[in-house]
Amino acid sequence: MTKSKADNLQMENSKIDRLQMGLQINDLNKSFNGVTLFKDFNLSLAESTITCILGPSGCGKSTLLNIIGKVIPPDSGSLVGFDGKIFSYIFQEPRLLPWKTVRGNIEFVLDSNLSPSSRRREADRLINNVQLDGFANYYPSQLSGGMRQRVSIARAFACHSDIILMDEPLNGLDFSLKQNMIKWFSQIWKEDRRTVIFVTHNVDEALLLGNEIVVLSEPPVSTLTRLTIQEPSGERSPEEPHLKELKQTLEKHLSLAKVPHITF
Amino acid sequence: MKISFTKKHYISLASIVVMLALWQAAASWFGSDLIVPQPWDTLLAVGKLIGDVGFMKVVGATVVRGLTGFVISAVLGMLVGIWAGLRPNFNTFISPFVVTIRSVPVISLILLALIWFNPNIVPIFIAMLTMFPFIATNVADGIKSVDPNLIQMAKFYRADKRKILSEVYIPAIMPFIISGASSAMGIGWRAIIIGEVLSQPTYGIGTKMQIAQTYLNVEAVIAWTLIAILISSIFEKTIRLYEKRVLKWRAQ
Repeated sequence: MTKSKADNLQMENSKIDRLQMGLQINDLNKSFNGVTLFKDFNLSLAESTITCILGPSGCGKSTLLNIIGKVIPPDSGSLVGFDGKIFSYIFQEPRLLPWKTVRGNIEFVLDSNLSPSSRRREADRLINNVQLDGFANYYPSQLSGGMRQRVSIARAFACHSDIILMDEPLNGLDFSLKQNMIKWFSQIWKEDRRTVIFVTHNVDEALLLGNEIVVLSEPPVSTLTRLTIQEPSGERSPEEPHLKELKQTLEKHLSLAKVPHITF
Repeated sequence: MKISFTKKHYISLASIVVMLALWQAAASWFGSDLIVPQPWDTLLAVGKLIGDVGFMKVVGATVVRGLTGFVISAVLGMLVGIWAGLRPNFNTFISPFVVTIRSVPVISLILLALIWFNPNIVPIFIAMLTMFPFIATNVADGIKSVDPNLIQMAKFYRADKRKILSEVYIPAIMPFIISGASSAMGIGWRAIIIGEVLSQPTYGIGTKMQIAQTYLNVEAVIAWTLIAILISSIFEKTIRLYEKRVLKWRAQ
């Protein structure tokens, strides 16, 4: 109990920090194939926090992530606090290089100035973090889907980035595997508390992982609600009553987010 | 696994036995060494040729020509193939060249080469032009088939162009390079020997065949043919071994 109180206190402290050095998206406009995805959209994001961006499928969450990661340019608008930031990515698919071993895939993103032995040490440390010891010399084709995604998580942390962007990386995994992945992710995350922006349409994922949860509407996107969960991620159980309550709230917002479609 | 391997072996062996039997039947039917020599006599002739003092010089000359042609066409083919795979405009520009080279009858190339080059170069030139289109086309197809998601991933992680080429593109097209090299080699050896028959360099399997043919020495023509088949299959086997080693990342 005291431990969680201490954690809460730490959370409060980092909340104060956040106010001082936030990341901001101001007056964002973006249209895609004639659809206005964002119209004067504003969002502030906290650093050293896991922010889950929750929204219905096709609401432009991935586009937002790509704009943040400077993969696609916005039509107009400004990003504040993102200059000079280095990003790493966890994609929906693991996107591992099939001809490289687990270790090779992680070394791929390491600084090329490092000596071979320190590269190896760093890669092995991350392999250990995602509990894939003994698999360093395996090729992706020899691993299960969940194991491959763990390699891609290890790769994202291996890269000395400031911000980790995650685009629905837990899609298609069963619930218990999802819970495990979130546990592993949170454990590594605690080591350096990087800024994480995690995009998903799945309420459970957001509840288990997010420190902050932002619910977006269908295009043109607006923020429907925003909430903070104090309890450290990775230590939450979906059975807890207050999380169940939050889940209901989020689901209500999400159902409102959906514009009713007329089918012929 | 082991059982099917042995079974496969037996079937291959049976196939060779049938081939030899057909040959033997043909030899008995014609009853003349001037038309179809006896298989056993021919195999003895192969042994005798291999034992000859000048054998290594002859075979060595042909092999060196083959490898030279192969290396030149592989380097050119990879450069052209990679560029064509990356740049659609260059692909459109270069396609007519590759198609033309591939459609020109080998004999036309030889006749022209005989006019332009000295006899030692002709077979290399022929080999190069016959192998080049296979490698260039395969490499270009390989580059086009590279998963764009992997390229995007590498760019996201700030890999520079050189790193993307050497650690993403090249390994991705290895299977295509190897299958291109394999078909190129298959056709290349035949082209080299035709080139040698017609250009008559001092040393070469084709030169020896041409001399044997002039003296109606059918046995020697077939014996040299068997040697050419042997060389070609040694190279094919080497490529397959290399393939196994390089592509061990592929799912079994």
